[in-house]
Parts: sequence; structure tokens; C-alpha cells
Amino acid sequence: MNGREGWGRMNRAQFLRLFGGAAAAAAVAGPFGFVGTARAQAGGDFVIGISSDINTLDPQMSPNDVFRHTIRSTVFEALVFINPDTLQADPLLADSWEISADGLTVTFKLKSGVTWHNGAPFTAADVVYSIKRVQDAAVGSPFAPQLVAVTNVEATDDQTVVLTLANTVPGILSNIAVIQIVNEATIGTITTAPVGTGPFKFVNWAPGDHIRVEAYAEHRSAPKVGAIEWRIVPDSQARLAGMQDGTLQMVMLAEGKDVVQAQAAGIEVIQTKPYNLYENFNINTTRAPFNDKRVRQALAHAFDRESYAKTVWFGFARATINPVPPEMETYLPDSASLYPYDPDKATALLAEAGFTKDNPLKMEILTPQGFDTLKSMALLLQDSLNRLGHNVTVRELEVTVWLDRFLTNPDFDITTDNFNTGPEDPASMFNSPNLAPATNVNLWNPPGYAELVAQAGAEIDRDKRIALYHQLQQLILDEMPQITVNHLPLFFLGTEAAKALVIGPSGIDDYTKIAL
Amino acid sequence: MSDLATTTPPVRRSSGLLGFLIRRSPLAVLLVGIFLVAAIFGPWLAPHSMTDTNLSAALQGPSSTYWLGTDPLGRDVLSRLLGSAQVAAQAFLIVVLIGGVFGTALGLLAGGLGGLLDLVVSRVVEVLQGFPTILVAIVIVALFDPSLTNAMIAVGLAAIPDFARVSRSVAIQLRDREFIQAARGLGAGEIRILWSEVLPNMIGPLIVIASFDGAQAVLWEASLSFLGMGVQPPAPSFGSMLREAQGYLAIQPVFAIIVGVAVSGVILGLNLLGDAISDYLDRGGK
Repeated sequence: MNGREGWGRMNRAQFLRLFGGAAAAAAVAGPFGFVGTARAQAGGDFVIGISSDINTLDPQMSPNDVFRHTIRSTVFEALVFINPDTLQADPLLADSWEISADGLTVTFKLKSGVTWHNGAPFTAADVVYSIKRVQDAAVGSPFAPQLVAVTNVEATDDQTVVLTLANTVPGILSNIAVIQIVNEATIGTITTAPVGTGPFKFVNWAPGDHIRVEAYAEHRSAPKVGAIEWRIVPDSQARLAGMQDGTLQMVMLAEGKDVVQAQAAGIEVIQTKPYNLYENFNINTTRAPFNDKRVRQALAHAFDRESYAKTVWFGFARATINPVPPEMETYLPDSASLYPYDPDKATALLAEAGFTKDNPLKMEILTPQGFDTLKSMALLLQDSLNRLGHNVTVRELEVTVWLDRFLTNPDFDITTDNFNTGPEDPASMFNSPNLAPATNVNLWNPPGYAELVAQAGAEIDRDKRIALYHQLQQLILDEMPQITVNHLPLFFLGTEAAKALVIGPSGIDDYTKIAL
Repeated sequence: MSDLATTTPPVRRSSGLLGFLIRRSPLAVLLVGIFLVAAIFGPWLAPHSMTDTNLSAALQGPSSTYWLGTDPLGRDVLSRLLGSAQVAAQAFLIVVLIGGVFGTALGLLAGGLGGLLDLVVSRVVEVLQGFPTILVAIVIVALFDPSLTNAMIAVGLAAIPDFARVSRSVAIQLRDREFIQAARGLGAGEIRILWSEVLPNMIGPLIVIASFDGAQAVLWEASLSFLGMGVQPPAPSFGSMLREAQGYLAIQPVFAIIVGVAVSGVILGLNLLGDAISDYLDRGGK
């Protein structure tokens, strides 16, 4: 009977641990959550909590980093930085630039005396290499659509780069602002030891735990903090606790519930313009029955985005069906409220497409772990459709698995996602991974779409340009390749020092002004 | 007469068990009773749908409409707790079945037949015991898909050693007793003896192990669902509800408290009950 005695003891001890409810799960969650990553920090470190990891250190290959604001914003630089206040391009690696009268040539004069972190001088050849690398189909950079109009890039001397464009691109500087410049000589080790020109040097990346960069003293605007460490803290409550006990100085991309709780706890909430981000459902438009636009329209009618914004986002989100925010002059008037929540309309559209209670629509909604609002979105759409008699499942996936099924080897019906609205210029949005012709994540590219996007991007006349963008919005609102749900500001929780972070509109920030 | 008592097969009777348990641990009977009623009759008792969302009623405290309040998507907490009890009971059953059938069979054969078989089984059981349950569960869920069944198969595997150890030690104690020798003398084969003579005499200890391992299973199910590796949404589970509640601690603490109390109550009840059954058997069913 030894066995039984042993068992009795073990269980009583375990039970004691559990008593009090959540302790059980917390004890298990410990190693995965904040408890496991918290440790004493050295002076001069600026520690930031992020909800999930990046997937690569290569700044030209990491759309995920656009949401994490890590390596791309610190180790690397682009030619220009879009200033969030003026929405104009500020000099970064380029000192000045000139756009020719016909709009087809852009000449960048580079800053002199810039060095790579390994001490090598930065030259025009690096810029040429970087732009060509993004354009190289074999590399497969998600930023390639930003450079679709660039037909030639050459260095006329060590400090001058000339871009030749196929057509005028009024938003070319916004596009250039997301192309980080990489070092050709060290490209072989870019995924393990990236070398950039930015204000911070790469130190290490412990996947699933942290990413660390250190100040690069030789940089022309030397950072004021010694090091930045992003800690991966998947649990939002643990991130809040980290802010309260001082182990974190900033939390990136907080959700509505975190903002409410942070405000109650007296933690500073920093927010960008109310339309920096949008949440949406991306749809695999090549897979039946989602290749039928009536099904996609039905899904749009089946989601109650007003209630979602009000409840899950505590009113911090602004419901809309159009990814173009009303603040942009190209916005299609009164379009945000199209496709109101209307289960009857959804039922009618699905019936037209052949789906009824007797032949229910079967679909799986993917949602990435660590994004509670996206999970709520998935559950709400699921519930709405299941109540209409359909058969919807929700699958919450670990982020790297999700990226694989969504982006790398597309195998999905529909997924929740959030996306940067991007700079004020809609050309950038229609060339972003969500909407770019030929390469967008919805795998949607109807005849004439690419031409229309190119035409709108090239149009200089203001009224004609607006008309073309209205036409594009009408097209995506009719075809519904993705279901936009809301516009959101980016929320950062931070200490007083964190307020000095300059949050750029396209996922690249300026950390150099932060001082502890 | 005492000799006779030890030579008579010590088959335990269940008469008076409930009465004993109520006297010994009324709290356990009450808690497990509520759990069983919830698990079996939950779907009929639930005042609302377990999965229907209602954002206009999100995160409410207890009210006459929603007795235990609502979750962040406006789903009824009471109905979801009833659903969670059902999921927990499934976890209990799967784990006890896997652990009980395979563990008992292994232990019975090893203890009853002895020799090389005993050596091999004992070592295998020790190896199995060496793996942390959560690790095995994570591996299985990673290899296949996260679901209640997969998670509980992993936990069930982890329960095999407990059943095996207990059934083996009971089998060793019994195999040379007079009534076994009598059966052997009557010409019964070893397997037949194990099945019809030894097995019935270890039911008591096995029930105790089942109650503790089952409680453990409820806990593991909650833990794995908390981590998103158990029951998949929108199905409720104690673990996933705790997880949801935890994100809203400062906004609607009642939600977390209610779910926490429910989980604690179930585990407490099952453990107390296991202890009480153990006492009952130690006293020879008196």
C-alpha cells in the first residue's frame, strides 16, 4: 500500500498549491510567462514588453517586426523617416533628395561619415544593393511591392543614388521609408548577427525570450539609453504587472482592456493617431467557396464591428469596413458604414451562394496566439455564423505556425490579422502586403486591379488621383478580399521616459530620444 | 477466527460507503455531488447557451438574468461553468480509463507472474514516470492537434505508472495467499487466477487511485486549456475561463473569483473524497 500513501501525500501537496483558484494554472504558466523571463536588469537598460516574438532578424524579410518595432527601428535605417507630426520625410541615411520635374527620377544625396556597426564605411553601393535585394524575386521580400515602379537604381558616386521610376509615384518617399538599408559584405550572417547603420547594435536574440540591442556610440545621433531589451511576455496581465513593479519601462501594442487597467493603475498611456492600425479578416480568395464574393460579402455582414469596437476595445477603436481612413483626402465618402451588421443579409447572400442551414458553410478561422482582441474577433464571427446554422471552427495558433499557414505556405480559409494603415499616402496602402496586386495575402488579383493601382499611384492631378482611389475603394468594398473591422491607434504603456519614443506611421520608430 | 479472517478473500463491500463518506467528509460529498450533477445534467440546467455571445451584456456581475455574471464576450458564466464541468468529467473519464486499463493490466501481470516480465514492466513504468506530465502533453499536442482528447491521452499515459505500481504491489501481496493457492490447486491457470481472484481484490485501492488521478486529470485539463492546448474555443473549460478572467482582473474581478472558486471546489471535493474512500477501505469498510 506504499503506492497509495505516496499518492495521498502528493495530491494533498498539489491540492494545497492549487487552493485559491488560479494558482494552479499560474504555476503551470509560470515558465511560459513573465515569471520565467523576469530578472534583474543592469542600469541604463530600457526594457520593453512585447506579446510575441519576431520571426527573423533580416529587416527586409520581417513583416512581423513591423508590429514589434524592434530590429528594423534600431539596428537598421532607411534613407528617410516619415515624421509622424508632419507626415513628411525627414532625412535619415539620405541627407537630401531631389525629384526631377517629370517625376521619374529621384536623386538621393547620402550622409557622409556614416559607418556600419563593424566599422566599414557606408556608401551608395550599399543602397543600390539593398534596393535590388528587396526587388529580387528570389529573395521574396514582403516589401517588394513598395518598389514596383522602380526600374533602375544606380550609384553615380559614393554619396549619390539615383532611382529611375517607370511612372510618377507621388508617394515614393513613403515607400522608400520602409526599405531598410542592409550591408552587402555581411549579408550571409544577417539572420544571426545583423550589421546595420542604426543607432543601436545588435547584441543577441533568444527566441521566445528576448531581443537585445546596445547603443552604437559612433552614431550621429547617439542614443541616450545604454541598451534596449524587448522581452517576450505573452500574457497581458503579466505585462501590466511588469509595468507596475518596474521591470518593464514600456509595453508595446496594448489592447483596450490593458489600457483601461493601466489608466486605473496610473500608468502612462501613449497613443498614436486614431487610425494607425486596422484589424481585419484576411480571406483566402483562391479557395472555394471564398472565391465567391457573395460569401465574402456575407461574412462582412455577419460581423458586428460596432459592438466589437465598443465592447472588446472599450470604445478605443473606430468601426469601419474601409481600410482607408476618413482622414485621408482620398477616402471614399460615407464608405466606413457600408456593410452594417445584418444577419438576414448575410443569410440571403450565403443562400445565393448555395449555403443554407441544410448545406451549411464550413470554415475555419485562424487566429494568432497572444492577440486577445483578434481571438475575440474570431469567436464573434464564429458565433454569429453558427447561429445562422453554419459550421465554423476557430483555431488559435502559435504565431510562427500561424505565419507559416497564413503567409509562407498559404493554407487557410480566413484569418484574423491586424495591419498598419501606413503613411497618409494611399499608394503605400495599395502596395502593402494586404492589398498589393499579385502579392497580397488574400491572394486576390482581379483583372485590371494591378493597372488601376499603378495608374492611381502615378497620377499627379489631385482630382483625378482622388477619383482613381475612389474607384479602387469601390472595388475592394465590392469584392471584399479582406474584411476590415476597425481603425485603431497604437497604444503603448510606458514610464515618463517612454514618452520620448517617436512612433512612426509605418512601423519604424525613433528610439534615440529616450533617456532614463 | 482471526486466521480465518485473513484467509478469507478480503472482498470489500460497498454497502454503507455513502453513509460513511457523508459522516467522514460531508464537504467532499457536497462538492463532488454538485460537480457530478453539473457534469451530467449541465446542458439541461444551463439557463443560457454556452457559446452565444452578447456584447451588449459583456463583463456583467451577477444579476437575476446572469446568476454568475457574463464573460468579456457576454456569454453566461454559469452556463459555461456547467459546460466546463462536463469537459472536466470527460477528462476524468479518459484519464482513468487509459491509466486504469493499461496500468492495471501491466501491474497485474508484472506482480502476478513476476520474473523477467516484472523486471521489464517495472523499468518501463519507471521510465514513464520520469517524464514530466506537462512535457508529454505538450509534445503530444504539438505533434497532433490541440484538443481535449489529445491532451487527456497524454495525461492518461502519465497516469499509467500509478495504476501499475499499485496493482503490482497488491498482486505481489496476494499471489501466495491461501485462497490463491487454493485456486491454483483446483487447476486454475495463472491468467485466470489474476483475472478472477486477484483483480477483484484490488478494486478498492484502484478506486482510490482513480479518484486521485481523476482529480489530477481535472487539474491538468484546466492547466492545458489555460495554455490553449486543451479544449478549443468556443467550448468552455475551467482553464480557458480562468485565462479569460485573468485578463480582466482589475475590470471585473468577480469573473475571476467565481471561476477560481469553481475550479478549487471541484479539485478540493475530488481530493477529499479520495481521502475519505481511502479511510473507508483502511477500516475494512466499517
